[in-house]
Amino acid sequence: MSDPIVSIRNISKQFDSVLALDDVSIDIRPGEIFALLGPSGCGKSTLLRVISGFETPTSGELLLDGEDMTQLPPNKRPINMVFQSYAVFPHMNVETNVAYGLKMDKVPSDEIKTRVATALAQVHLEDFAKRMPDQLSGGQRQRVALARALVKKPRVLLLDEPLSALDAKLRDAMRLELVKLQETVGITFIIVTHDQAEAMAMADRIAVLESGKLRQVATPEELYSHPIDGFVADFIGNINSFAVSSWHADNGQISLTAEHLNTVVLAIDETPAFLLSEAPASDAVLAVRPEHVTVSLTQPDENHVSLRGTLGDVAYQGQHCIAEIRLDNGTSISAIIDNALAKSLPSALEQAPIWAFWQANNMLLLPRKVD
Amino acid sequence: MPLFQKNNTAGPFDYSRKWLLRMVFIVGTVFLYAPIVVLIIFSFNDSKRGGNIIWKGFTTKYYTKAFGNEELMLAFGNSLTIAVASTVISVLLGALTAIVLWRFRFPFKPVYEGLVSLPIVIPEICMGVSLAMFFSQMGWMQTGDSHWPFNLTNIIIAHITFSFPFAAMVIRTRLQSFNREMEEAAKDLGASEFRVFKDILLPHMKPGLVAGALLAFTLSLDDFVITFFTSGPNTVTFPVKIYSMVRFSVTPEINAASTVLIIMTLVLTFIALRYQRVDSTS
Repeated sequence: MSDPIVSIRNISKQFDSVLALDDVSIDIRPGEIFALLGPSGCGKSTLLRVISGFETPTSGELLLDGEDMTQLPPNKRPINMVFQSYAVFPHMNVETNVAYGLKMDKVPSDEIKTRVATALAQVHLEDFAKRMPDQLSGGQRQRVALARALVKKPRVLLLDEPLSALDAKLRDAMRLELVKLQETVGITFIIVTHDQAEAMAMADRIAVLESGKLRQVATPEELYSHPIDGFVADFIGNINSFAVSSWHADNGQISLTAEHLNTVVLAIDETPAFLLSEAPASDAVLAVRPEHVTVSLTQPDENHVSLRGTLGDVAYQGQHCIAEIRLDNGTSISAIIDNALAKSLPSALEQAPIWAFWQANNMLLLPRKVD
Repeated sequence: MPLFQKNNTAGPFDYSRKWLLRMVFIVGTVFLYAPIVVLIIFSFNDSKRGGNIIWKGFTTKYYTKAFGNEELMLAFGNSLTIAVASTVISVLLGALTAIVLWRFRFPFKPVYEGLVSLPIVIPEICMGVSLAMFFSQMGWMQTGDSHWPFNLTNIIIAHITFSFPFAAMVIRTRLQSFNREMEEAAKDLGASEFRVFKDILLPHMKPGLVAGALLAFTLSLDDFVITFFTSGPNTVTFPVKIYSMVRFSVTPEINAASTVLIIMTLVLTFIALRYQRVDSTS
């Protein structure tokens, strides 16, 4: 594995009484698209501002290619940023905006010219060079912001919620385009987002943050199939969780009972450490993704984990439906079912009993939350 | 603006269809502007007395007379000098104050804010008396005897004290709409603090600076009370001179001089508005 381009080492940031970042350490590899993902207030933007130099961490250090730049001001860092509001300078035209950073670096004017032209071509804005920002759409303004940062050939490009201000259609297109652009320029991208779908679609690796703490760093596939805890599992896609009430392990197997469920038997190599700790069993959860849940009118066989309930809302998604199955105690779980099945089910009004079931080996045994 | 026409599409000026509102509007406008229109018209009246409301024929001789009145022109020159000097300094001070108040947090900031805007609410007569006392205590009342433009120092200082808070307020309002990410973006692209100020903040402030300057200029140009108290006996400004002329006798010459002042103010306002429009589209 290559040396990290950005090394975040034990960084904490205290704002008055709020600990925005709590001992975060991440290594970011050269040439990857790395996403900082988390709900609002999780510290992801603060971390981005620490990397860009607009915030100085309370403790910890930040290395770029092995060199400490924790105290370096933002204008001295070979890192550029695309701001959430794009921050395109309103009194300069597109070309001048893009050239600004090069002018600050005292690049000779003929070189500025060619580099600006290249950058504008990269973001498909060649024909807009003389336009003023207020004559551009939101998407075009974002391209200006992108070109303005890329033209400086930064070691790392930071993008703060790059797609949040765009409408749905444009967002999907821009997502692909950003990935393509990254492949062309080969610059490491660090993207901050609260949208897990966005992070999953674009990033090579994702760091999930919550309340200033780093929860997990992994590839999208790994995050989805092996989340470290209930929080990550729920944040990355949807998941149905059941609190474990008791467990018994022996002989490469663990049998668990959980709320609403019959006994679940999972094959394991060794008993997970979080079950062996002092904490009560209910700090562990059994979880299953909606796409693994099947719905039927008849009771499934003993080989499945099953639940009886009634059909709740069915949300049509186009290629499939998301069905809500209401359990007797008022809670509900969700299942992804195909459209034909959704049509054949009795309507929610009939309150007819239905069964939701899945295979035990599709279940994840997770701690509720890792601290 | 189809203010007095039947207009079937609903628009922001729909209320003007209501005859009562229309009357209020017309009466208000006439009340405000008729005296000025009359003043301008009667500056061309061929009558010996300006107070004469009988039209005696068209003449421009009072303009010639006003421009030929050496004392009046001297006062006019003084007023312009004071206005320009106090505007430049007021805008500079106002801009700096505005930036400090907008940008930084410091102890007793609300107190400082209140003190800065105090001259706006203090009655002019109090400002005038206190400044006069201050200048005489400092022994600066004699500056009126020195050479131009130093004979105007007192008045310029007095004008700055009451006009810079206005400039600061206008500029600060403009700063409120500044997106701080612009500043960070510039810094991120390699700009130093000074370049950020020069390239990003200053262009954003420009409409506020122009508006503040215009305000300071007009405030200074037509100030009477404070000027009256702070000027020595030998320095006369335009409003003070007009006042002394009116006391002597009202002649169309005063009308003519006032008209020139009105036109100057109008032109300045027009330029400023024009300038701001161009700037805000960019």
